Amino acid sequence: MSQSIVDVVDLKMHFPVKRGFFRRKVGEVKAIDGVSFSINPGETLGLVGESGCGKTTVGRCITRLYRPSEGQIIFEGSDISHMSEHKIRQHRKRMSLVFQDPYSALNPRMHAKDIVGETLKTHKLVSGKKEYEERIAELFIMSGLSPDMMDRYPHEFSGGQRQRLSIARSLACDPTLIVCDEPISALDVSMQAQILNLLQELQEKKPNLSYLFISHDLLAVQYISHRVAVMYLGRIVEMSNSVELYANTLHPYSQALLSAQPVPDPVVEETRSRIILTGDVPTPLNPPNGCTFHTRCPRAKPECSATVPALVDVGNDHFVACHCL
Amino acid sequence: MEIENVKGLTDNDVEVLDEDLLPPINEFKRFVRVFFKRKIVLVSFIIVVTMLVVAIFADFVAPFGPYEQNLHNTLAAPCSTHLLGTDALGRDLLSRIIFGMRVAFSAGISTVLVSAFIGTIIGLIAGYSKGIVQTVIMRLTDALMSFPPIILALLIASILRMGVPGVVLAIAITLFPGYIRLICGQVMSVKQNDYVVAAKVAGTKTTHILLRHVLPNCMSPLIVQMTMMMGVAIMAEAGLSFLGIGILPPTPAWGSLTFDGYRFLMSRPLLSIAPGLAIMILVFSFNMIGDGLRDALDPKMRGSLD
Amino acid sequence: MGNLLEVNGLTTEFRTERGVVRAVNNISYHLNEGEILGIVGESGCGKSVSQLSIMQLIPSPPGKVVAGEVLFEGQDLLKYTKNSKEMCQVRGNKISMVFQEPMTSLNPAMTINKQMSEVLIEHKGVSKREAREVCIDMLGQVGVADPKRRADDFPHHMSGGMRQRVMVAMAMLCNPRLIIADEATTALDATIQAQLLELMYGIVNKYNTALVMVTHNLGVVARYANRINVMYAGRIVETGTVKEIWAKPMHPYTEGLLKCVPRLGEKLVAIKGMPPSLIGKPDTCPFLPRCKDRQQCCFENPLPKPTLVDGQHYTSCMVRLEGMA
Repeated sequence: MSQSIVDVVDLKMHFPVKRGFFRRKVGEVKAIDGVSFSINPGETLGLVGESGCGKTTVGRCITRLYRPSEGQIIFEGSDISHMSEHKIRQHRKRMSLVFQDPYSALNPRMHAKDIVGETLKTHKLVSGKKEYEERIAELFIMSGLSPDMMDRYPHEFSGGQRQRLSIARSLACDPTLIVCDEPISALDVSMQAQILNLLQELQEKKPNLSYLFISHDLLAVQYISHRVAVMYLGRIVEMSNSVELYANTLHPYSQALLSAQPVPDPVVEETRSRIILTGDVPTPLNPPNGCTFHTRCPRAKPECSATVPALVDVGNDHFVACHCL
Repeated sequence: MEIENVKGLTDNDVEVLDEDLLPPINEFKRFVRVFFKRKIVLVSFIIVVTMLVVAIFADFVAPFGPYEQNLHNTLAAPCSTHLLGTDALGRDLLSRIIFGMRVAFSAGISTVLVSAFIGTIIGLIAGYSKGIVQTVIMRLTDALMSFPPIILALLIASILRMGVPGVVLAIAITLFPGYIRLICGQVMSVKQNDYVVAAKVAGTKTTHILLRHVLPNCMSPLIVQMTMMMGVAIMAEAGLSFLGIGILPPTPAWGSLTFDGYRFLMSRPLLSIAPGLAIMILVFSFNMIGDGLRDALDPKMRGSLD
Repeated sequence: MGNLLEVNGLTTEFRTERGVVRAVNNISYHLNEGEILGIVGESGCGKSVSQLSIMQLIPSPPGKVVAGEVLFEGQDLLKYTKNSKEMCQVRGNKISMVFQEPMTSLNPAMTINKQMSEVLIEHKGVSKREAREVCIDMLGQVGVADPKRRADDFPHHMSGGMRQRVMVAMAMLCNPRLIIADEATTALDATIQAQLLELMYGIVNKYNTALVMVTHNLGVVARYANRINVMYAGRIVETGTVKEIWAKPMHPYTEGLLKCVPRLGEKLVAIKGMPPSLIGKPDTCPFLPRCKDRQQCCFENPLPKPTLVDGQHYTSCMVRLEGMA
């Protein structure tokens, strides 16, 4: 276990809901409720789920934008889950974040080169203007941008180029982990493919670079990830390597999710039957007891509403949390 | 296209043509065009600039000195030497109004700078912090704002009693809570942006985030507010001077000029009306410029033409 | 089945600061009764603008339909002025639209029933009580549980998926001949999206209503559409039945679009470069700068009208057509 980049052990993040004049706590949103996984060097873990399932919160806990309520996050051997802001700064250069919205991710009042190079200055990784600009040019080329664009402002870039800038910024300090939070959802289909390929090429060039790839797009996750974890209402319901997960889907939620994703091929679509789930995702403010999926599950049994199923190893590096196996 | 040339394509047979995706916009030109789109803004801008130039070069523009008395020619009617006539001490009214411009501008500008500086710093802190710090600052601001501003200014000015600096301070104190509220709101929305989050993840220090990422993106509304407040500050200064606790005679402030002429309202109405009109024109012009700036700096106006 | 809608040479322009943008450039297509037509393309390709032009919903200024005709049931809709009685009779009554954001399309200050009834009272002149009954019936048909009670809810009481169902119900109220779904399910989660698509598909089949699906999601189109129009830079570059296009894409852009969706075990082939700006472009093929099959003749001749390949399959790529002949 010690050689992995990140170990997340039983992570919980409960946001208090406060109301009224005295900001009394009236409830909790259980955004993450006991999540464990680890990411090895050079590995991509895909985190899939629908909105509100807590996948973004996981990403923000790992980058310590949130202080988790419970559990441990062991990043390169040290537990950062409750580290002070001051102490954590030295770990910050080893991790970075790529966002969904390429428009709000870049400061509109800064030059492209300073957006990319800011962290270099923060951590004093370069000395002198010449070295700074050389390093930035290198990062631009690595992300598929021309160094001629260094002196431009973000509004002169298109959506896809902005996302490349964002990636260049995240690469600046040579991190070991990049948390990609829906990096392609806001992009056009042809741009999505470019960004996915770019992320993969970068990993080929830097064998120790790991990604936590958060997305609702199963096809993209399958394409880029080595292992995939499916989340539902704050818990991981199924986790396996990407080939196994898609070939041998076991959890009814994963099956429904996979079947809901339309396959862009009319011949396949004609023969394929779909599982259409009924109802909406319950609110994490008041999640169902037991297995949180039992309210929509086509195979729900009485015991599903009573006890929470544990994530069990079914062999072949495949973990499922379901009573109905 | 630039990207492709650099990357060393995998399939080299495709060489993408050069194509400028986003033709560059001259931001300054765009700003000027939107700003001066309304004639009234253009006129106001010319008025303010002219007044500012006149105020700076008052010594050369004014036909007489502001304190030059001529007791043989008091309360004279407008004539070719004294275009607006003279006051009770025989001083040329036009010259006193011109020198009054200097007072109005210096009081207005310093008030705005002082209040904006204090207000912005406190607003940044309030907006970026959350919980108890923000609540305390904002409640105090609310309390300060609910106090009638003219009474507050009167109170402070009469305690300080020190001419221009006293007036500036008094008015600045009544105006800075407005900036706190404005900046606090702006910061709270700007800090939601992903680039602020990215800076945090990268371990950037909070002061750096505030100055580099947050403040520059709050500038547009701040500039509009400052322009609008120029008018308010000039008005407040004139009010205090009119009441006799602002800038004291014989310094030629518009407010005290209006008050001096007030005694001769029946015989020589121009003595009171002329400085009053000067105040009105300048304040109005500042408000119009503020309006124009708001349009020109509004990001929603970008890209549209009509 | 006759032609329900026939669009000839529709051209829409926007005046912007950077110049005149020709968002829709001389497009022609037709739609049969009860047919499902997919309009596919990336953002900025004019797919939404073309549909808004038909409905005369283009914000003007800066936008303007500068040429073309839109024959709906034999009547040219562009002959009517924007807010004329005739146009209002068509909008909502004979053609209705479902937009991407259900929150902004519904008035937050009115109950669902009131908003829906308004449409009916306006177009059909029924009484309030009758309108309410029809609304409740329609809500039931789109799968809103307990429609009697939900009819008196406000939009913010409902989830995103539920609101979009209400939008579909509202679109169906007057039993229109054509529904235009402009990215109607894009903002929803995968499982909810699947629910809604099945629902819409069922309803339009039941009432033999024609449906235009404007989307960038090829999977959705592959499953539900009969025919598709592929749009690029304001033009239709290829059109045909779904099967024809998937079996043999005859325009390099279509081919690229199909290839950049991740599929199991296949390397992703991205389209190089990015979509062109639409300002002052020459008449040559808009895809030329990114095309890998281009030849000298492409640079010299303007983009041809879509030419018949076979069946209902038309393409505007000269090189491919010549290769066939």
